[in-house]
Amino acid sequence: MYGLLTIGSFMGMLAAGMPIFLSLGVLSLILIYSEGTPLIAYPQIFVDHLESDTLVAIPFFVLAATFMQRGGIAKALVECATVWIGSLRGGLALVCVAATTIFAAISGSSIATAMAMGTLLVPAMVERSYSRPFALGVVGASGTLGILIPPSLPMIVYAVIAEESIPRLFLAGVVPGLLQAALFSIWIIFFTWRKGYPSEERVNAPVFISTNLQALPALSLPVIILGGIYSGIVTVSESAGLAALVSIIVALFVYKGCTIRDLPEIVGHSVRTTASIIFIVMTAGAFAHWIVGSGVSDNLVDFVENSQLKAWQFLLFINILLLALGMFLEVFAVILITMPIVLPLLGPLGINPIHFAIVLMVNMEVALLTPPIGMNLYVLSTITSSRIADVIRGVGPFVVIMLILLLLVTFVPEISLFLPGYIFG
Amino acid sequence: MKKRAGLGTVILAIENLLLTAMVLAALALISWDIVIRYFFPSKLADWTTEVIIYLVVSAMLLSGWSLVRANMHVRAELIVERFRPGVRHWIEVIIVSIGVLYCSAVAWYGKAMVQFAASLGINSASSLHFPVWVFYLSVPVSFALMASAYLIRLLNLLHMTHQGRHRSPRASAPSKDDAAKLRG
Amino acid sequence: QEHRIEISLETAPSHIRNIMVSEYAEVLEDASNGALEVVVYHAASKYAGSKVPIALAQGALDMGLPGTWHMGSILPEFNLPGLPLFYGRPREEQYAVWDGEIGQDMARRLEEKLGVKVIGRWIDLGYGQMFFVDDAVASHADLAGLKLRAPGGAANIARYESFGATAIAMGWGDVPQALQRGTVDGLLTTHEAVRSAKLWDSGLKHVFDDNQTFFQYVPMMSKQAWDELPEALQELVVDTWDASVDEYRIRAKNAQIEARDVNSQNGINRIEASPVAIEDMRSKLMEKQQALIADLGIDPVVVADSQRVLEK
Ligand code: NA
Ligand code: NA
Repeated sequence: MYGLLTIGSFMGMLAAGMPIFLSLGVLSLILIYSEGTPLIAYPQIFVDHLESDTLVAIPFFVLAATFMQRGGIAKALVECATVWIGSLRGGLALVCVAATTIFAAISGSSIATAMAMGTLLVPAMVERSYSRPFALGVVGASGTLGILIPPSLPMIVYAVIAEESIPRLFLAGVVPGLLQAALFSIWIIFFTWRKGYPSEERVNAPVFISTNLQALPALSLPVIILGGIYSGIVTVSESAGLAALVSIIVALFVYKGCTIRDLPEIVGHSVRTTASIIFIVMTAGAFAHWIVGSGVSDNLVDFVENSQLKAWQFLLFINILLLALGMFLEVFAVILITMPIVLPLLGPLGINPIHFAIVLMVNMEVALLTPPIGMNLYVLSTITSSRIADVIRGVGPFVVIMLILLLLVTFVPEISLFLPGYIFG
Repeated sequence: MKKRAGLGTVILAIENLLLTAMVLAALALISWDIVIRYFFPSKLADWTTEVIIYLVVSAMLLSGWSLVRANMHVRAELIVERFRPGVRHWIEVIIVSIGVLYCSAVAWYGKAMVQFAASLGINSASSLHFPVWVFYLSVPVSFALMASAYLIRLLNLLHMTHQGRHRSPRASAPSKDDAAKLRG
Repeated sequence: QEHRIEISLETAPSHIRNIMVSEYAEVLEDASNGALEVVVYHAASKYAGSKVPIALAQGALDMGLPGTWHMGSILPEFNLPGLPLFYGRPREEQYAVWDGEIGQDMARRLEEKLGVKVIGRWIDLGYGQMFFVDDAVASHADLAGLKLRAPGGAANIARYESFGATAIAMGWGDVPQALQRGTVDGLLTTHEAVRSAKLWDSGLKHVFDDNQTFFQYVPMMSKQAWDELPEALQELVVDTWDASVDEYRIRAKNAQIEARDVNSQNGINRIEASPVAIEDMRSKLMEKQQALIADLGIDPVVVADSQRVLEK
């Protein structure tokens, strides 16, 4: 009853068009007050959440993407990709999936991935007369790869709770991540063929060569950043800073798409864009803080322990539960609330915790796209000034594909376990 | 109206400069860390990560109020936009009032949190011994600014009601022009 | 149930501290004949370890067991365990200080400053050791020039300086890749932490056991939660805790030994520092102690008292 009232009033606030951070904020403030916690602890929850070295990466990735967009780097990259595969139908959407997959290997967060890639690629696709919801859907859904393809912040959190090895876990995400990209590509080719999307004309050799040369500095950017991480010169947390720095330098001095005078306006814009998401993350954190103490998890334990499920039934049940929680809670909140309860149950059922981690990650990718609380929906809406309804419509088909991927990953453990088994034995 | 827009532009320019200074300083610290660790690891400072967090987090918090001014905080409009302009106007009045109340409450308890940390004299664990209450201050400041921005919007909305402009279709969507201004 | 005590722990449910505290919660509930409900939150789902002392002080959380190292920024005296004086000291000597008047004095200071109630003796995590990827460190001299990830804190950094090594600060989540890619050459942590994160997968191959710092957890309650309990339940909380501490310590020690064995089964080669080498290193480290005490603002009287206890 109490729970229904909570969900009801929350949905009411969202439906009235109240800003999401404000809806979550008011709700969490009232709930935390009513459980008897002194309210001095409420802003303390905010600063506790914000004081993290992983959060810092997001604004820097956005800064990098904004400079790539404004400074002409993105244009060079898009043109280069176009002369290669632009003659395919929906070529730019395919480029988007490929570029996002590569970016996911730099970024450990899906929010950062969607923000950076959306800033670059949605305008490019809309410019080439792709439908806006489709463009939003491609980026929003591909952006979720940020947490499935290593490095991944939620995987690190899971590894610490589950006492698993981070390198193994990271490797387990590679094949499912590539599979997701492949499934998306198949859908894109089918969709754009059915809709008769334009393809670009083939270009002659001199144009082909000059376009590629023009893109060389832009192409060096991912190489520098990936090289920096994989050579050990920078940590994953620092890679965002490096990306921002290199983008600013290339934009200002190589492509000269913007000048130093433009700097304050571009940086200010990037910070505000990130902030509009961080305010939601912050209040969602306060809401999750309340949920942890609300007894939701206790009921869950009782149910699972009493119901004597078989492994496959358990996996199915957990998936449904996670999908439901993922609608209302942010990724880290779902993991923190459920994993301490779920993990001890895996051993007796014979479920490999590394396999389960990937099931969880794919599920959390979906959570990023399901309303009412879906961070990637908000990200795309913010950075492209699109209506949330358009974003939701756009990601719809991709969510269906991801549910298929979820079933595959859940019931074919080898997809996740093959690579780590091959490398580590 | 003309004069107010001018003031808004100046405030925005100052805010942009401030945010840029903070973010570029953080970026400089990250680069410094990478270079020093590679070439002169023994000279590495233990406080850079901490300062980077202070700079970036407070920059984001401080930009919250311009998001309020431009109505740029993320919201779902798919249901409310089906209502008549007059109804939407009053819904907006309620939302903005809640904004004033909520942000004032967080600012108030945020102030208590700052005073509590200051009275305990908690310093960061690094060799910088940075007093954490200074960093905490960004929360009450951010929310007090947001509360005042919501208050100004509330007064504008009530002013519209007074003039009888609140039923016009444009009145309920004041955000677009402001948002465009912020994006430059 | 008339009273509810919520305990927040940063570590995973399978961590030795969580297992012990969950058992304590059960024993306490049973002994209270239904008057107490004790709930344990794992894996920082409520509060990260470093945030626990403030949450207790604000009355937002009922009970926690923050590490001594989490309190150094609040009360300088909690930097004491990291000082050169305590470097490589055997357990019995550590207990003599922390269970004795000095530990009680520190608890009193903490209670005064944060308005919390320390409910008894501290329990152990265990010794921090140094683990390496490529370097089979056999003596302190081998440490020169290495880049090692260290938990923050001036005492740790000063110790690394004396070793001739460099302390690198980075989040725990960055550690596996930093080890794999050579961003750092090794780290300071416990055998149990290496086992639970399976850091051999990230390339750890060597450990130099010199027992360089002894990590402990301080059990405490918020004043609000404590004052709400009737005297009989307060006594029960304290007595139940005190009755379990000795067994906890033995089990924590065994957990570290078991972890050490698991680590060596997974190819981590162990070299133990000799007692003489530890003594030598301690006297070398002691040269910096005076400066450290001043920098950290530790009450010199407490340091002098500790020295007296240790020399007994
Ligand atoms: Na990633
Ligand atoms: Na969701």
